[in-house]
Amino acid sequence: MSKPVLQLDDLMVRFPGSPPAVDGLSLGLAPGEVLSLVGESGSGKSTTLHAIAGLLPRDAVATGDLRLDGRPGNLLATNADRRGIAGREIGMIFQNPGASLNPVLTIGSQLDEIVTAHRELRRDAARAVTEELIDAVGLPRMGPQAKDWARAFPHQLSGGQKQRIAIAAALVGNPRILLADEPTTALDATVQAQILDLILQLVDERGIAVMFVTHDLGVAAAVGDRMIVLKDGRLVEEGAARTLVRNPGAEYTRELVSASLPFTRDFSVVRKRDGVSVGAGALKLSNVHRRFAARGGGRVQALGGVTLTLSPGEIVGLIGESGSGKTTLGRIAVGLERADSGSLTLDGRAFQPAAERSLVQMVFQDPLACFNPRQSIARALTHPLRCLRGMGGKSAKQQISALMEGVGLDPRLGKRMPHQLSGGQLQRAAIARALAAQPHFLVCDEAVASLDVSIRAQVLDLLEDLRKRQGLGLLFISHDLGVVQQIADRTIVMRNGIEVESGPTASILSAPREAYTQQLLASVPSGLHPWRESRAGSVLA
Amino acid sequence: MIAALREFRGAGGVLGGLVLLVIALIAAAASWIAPGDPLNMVARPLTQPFADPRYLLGTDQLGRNVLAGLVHGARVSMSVGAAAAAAAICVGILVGTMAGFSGRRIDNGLMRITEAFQTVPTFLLALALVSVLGASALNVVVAIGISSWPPTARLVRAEVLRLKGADYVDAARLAGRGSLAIAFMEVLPGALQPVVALIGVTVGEAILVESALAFLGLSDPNLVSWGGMIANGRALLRTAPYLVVLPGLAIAIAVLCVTLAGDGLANRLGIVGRR
Repeated sequence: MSKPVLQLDDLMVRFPGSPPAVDGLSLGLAPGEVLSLVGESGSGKSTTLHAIAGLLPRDAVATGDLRLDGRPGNLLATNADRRGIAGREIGMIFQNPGASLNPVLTIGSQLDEIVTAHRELRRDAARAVTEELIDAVGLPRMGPQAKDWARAFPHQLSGGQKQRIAIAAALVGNPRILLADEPTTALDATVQAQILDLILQLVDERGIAVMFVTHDLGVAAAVGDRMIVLKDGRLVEEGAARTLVRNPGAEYTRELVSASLPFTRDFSVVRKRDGVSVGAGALKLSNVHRRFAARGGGRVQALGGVTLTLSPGEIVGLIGESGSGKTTLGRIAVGLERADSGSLTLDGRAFQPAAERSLVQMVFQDPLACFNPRQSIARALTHPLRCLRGMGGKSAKQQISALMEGVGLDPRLGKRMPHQLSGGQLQRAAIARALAAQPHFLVCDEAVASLDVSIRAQVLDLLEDLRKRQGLGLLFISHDLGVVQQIADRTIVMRNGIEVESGPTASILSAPREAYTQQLLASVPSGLHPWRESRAGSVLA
Repeated sequence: MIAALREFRGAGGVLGGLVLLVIALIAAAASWIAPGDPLNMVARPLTQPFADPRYLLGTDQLGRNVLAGLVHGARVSMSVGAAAAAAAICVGILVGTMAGFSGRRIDNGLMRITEAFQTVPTFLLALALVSVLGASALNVVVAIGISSWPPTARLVRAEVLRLKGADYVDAARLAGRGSLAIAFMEVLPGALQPVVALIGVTVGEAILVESALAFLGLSDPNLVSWGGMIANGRALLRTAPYLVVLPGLAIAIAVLCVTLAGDGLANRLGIVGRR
C-alpha cells in the first residue's frame, strides 16, 4: 500500500454515561482508495467519520492519533490546529442531502458562498467555479437534460440531484478525502446506482480517497476496495471488500452476510419454501384510481387503474421506486386512503376496509413513529382489542400477553414506553398490534426497511411463520429486491401508478419481460458481481 | 455575556415563580393578614405610608387601609386572572383541536370565527362584554375568557395539523378508535406542550385586562381590585402619589412574575429556548 493519506490509530470515542461508542479503532486510507465501513446501528461507524471530520458533539470525548499526509501533528490532540481540514482536506456528504440546503436560496448562491470561502474568490468570480462543479457532478448545462441548475431552488430538485449538489459542495475545496455517511440509503435503487457511479468516477478521475459508511453489505462490497466490519465500536474484520463478503472469516461477518439477503439472479440460492397453500376468500382491488392535489393547483396521478388480488396464505411483493404509487395502494387496501374509482371486494362481496377494520391491518415502516410516544406498548395493544373485539379488563390483559409472546416479545416489556424499546422489538410490537385485530390480511409497508439486517431476518421469519400458522395473506411493499425475492410468492412491479408486470417472483426477478424491470434489476448493487470493473466504461453519459 | 444572560433566564423563572408563590400565599391568607372588610374606613384619611405602624402603607382619601386593599386586591386580581386565562385556554384547546382535526369545512368555519374575534382588540371586546353583561366578578372572567382564546386556538390547531399525519394516528385509526378519541386522546396530548409556553402570557394579559376594566369602574364594586385602587387614587396623584404607585407596582410585579414563571416553565420543559 502506498503512503496513506489518512492514518488513524487507536480511536476511542466516549459519550457521557455510556460505553465507548468507538473502542480502539485503527485504520489507514490510501490515495484513490474506497474504504467501506460496515456495521449495524450502534456499531460506531458514523461516529468514526464524525471524529475524523471533527464534527463530534461537544460532550463527546475522542482520543487517539489521527494524521493526514502532509500535515504535522495529531489532529485529535486537544488544541490541535484543525484549520483548513474540514472542507479543504476532507469533504463530507450525508444521508439526507436536503437537510444541508437552505430552502430559500438558490443552489447556485449556496455553492457560491462555499466557493468564496474556500477558494478566496470574489462573489462574481465564484459563479464560474460553481457552474463548473455542478457540471462535474453530472448536472450539465448543455445537452438533452440541460437546465440552469444554479438558479434552481432545492425543492425543485429530486433526492438524487440534491445529493449531487451536496457532492459538488464537498468538492469545492478540492479535498483529498471524501467522507460519505450513508449517502445513498434514502435513494431509490436506480438513483443509488447513479450516485455510486459518480462517487467512483471522482475516485478514478481525481484520485480522491473515500470512506464509505453504510449498513448495506451489498453496496459496501460493490463500491469498496477494502472493507472494515465494525461491531459495538470495535473492528471485527478487515480485508479486500469482495473477498471478505465471499469468504468471511469472523463469525459476525458471516452472520451479516447470510442475513443481508443480497439480490441475486440465481434463484437456486434463494431459500426454498414449503408449498404455499392459498386459501379461499381473496381480497381484490380492481382498477383502482387515485389522484392527489399537486403543488400549485394541478392534480397528480398516484394510481392509474391498478388491479391486485391477494389470497389468504399468500405473500405478494409490491416493488417500485418512490412515487410509483405502491404505498397509496397499500393505504387504500387498509382504508386509510380512499380510491377515486375502482372497487374493493373480499371473497366476492363489496368490501369497505374502513367499515371492517379488523380484516385488513397494516405494519408501518418506522416502528418508532407508529407508536404514540406518550402511551405504553400494552396500552397501544389494548386499543384494537377493545375497539375491534370488544375485549376489556382481564381478558384483554391475557390476550396482550399472548400476542406479545406470539411475536417473541417478553410480556413484561408491555409496561415500557416506545422509546425504551429497540427498533426490532418495536416492530414486533407493531406486528402484535396488527394481529390483535385478528386480520385476514396484513399490509407491510416497507416494514423491514429501517431494521438492521440481523433483526430484519428475525422479522421476516416471524412474518413467514404467521403466514404458515394463521394463513395470513401479506402484501409486502418494498424497494428492496433482495428481501422481496426471499419472501414473496408473487411480485408486482409498479411505476408511475400503473402495473408494469406481475407474476411469480422467480420469473419476474430472474427473467423480466419489461425493460423497466430489467433496468430496476440492473441497478441493484450486488457484491457478488464485480460492479466497479463492469461499470468502468459506463460512467454517466 | 450570553452565558450570563442564559443563566439569568433560568434564575428569572425561579425568581418569578417564588415571588408568584408569595403573592398567591398573601392572596390566600388575605383575611388573616388584614382582617375585616378592606372597604371599611378605619383611620384618618390620607395617612402617609410608614407614618402609623398599624397602617403601614397609609390610608386613602376615605380612610381605607391601603395595605388591606393591596392584599385583598391580590386575591381578586390573581383569581380572576387565573380563572379567565384557564377559560381562555380551555376554549382555545377545544376550538383548536376541532379545527385542526376535522375536515376542511369545519376548519375553515372555526378559523373564520377565530379571525372575527382576533380583529377586535382583546380589551375592547372584554369592555363591550362587561358593559352588556354587567359588572360582576364572574362576568369579568367570562368576558376576558371569551376575548382571549384565539392565540391558544391557533397554536393548538397548528400543532394538531402537524401531528395528525403521524403514523401513530393512522395506527390508532386502524385499531378502530373513534375520531373524537383520536383527536383528544392521541393527538391533543402531544400538542399541549407548546401551550405551556402560552400560559404565562395569557394569565399575565388576563390580569392586565382585569385591572384595566377595574380602572374603568367595570368590575365588581363590592370587591377591591388593584385597577380600582389606581382609579381611586388618580384624583390625588399630586398630593398622595402612593395611592396610585403602590397598586401600580403590584400589577407590574404580578404580571412580570407570571410571565417569567411561564417562560421558566416552558424552558424547563424544553419547549422554547433550547438551541
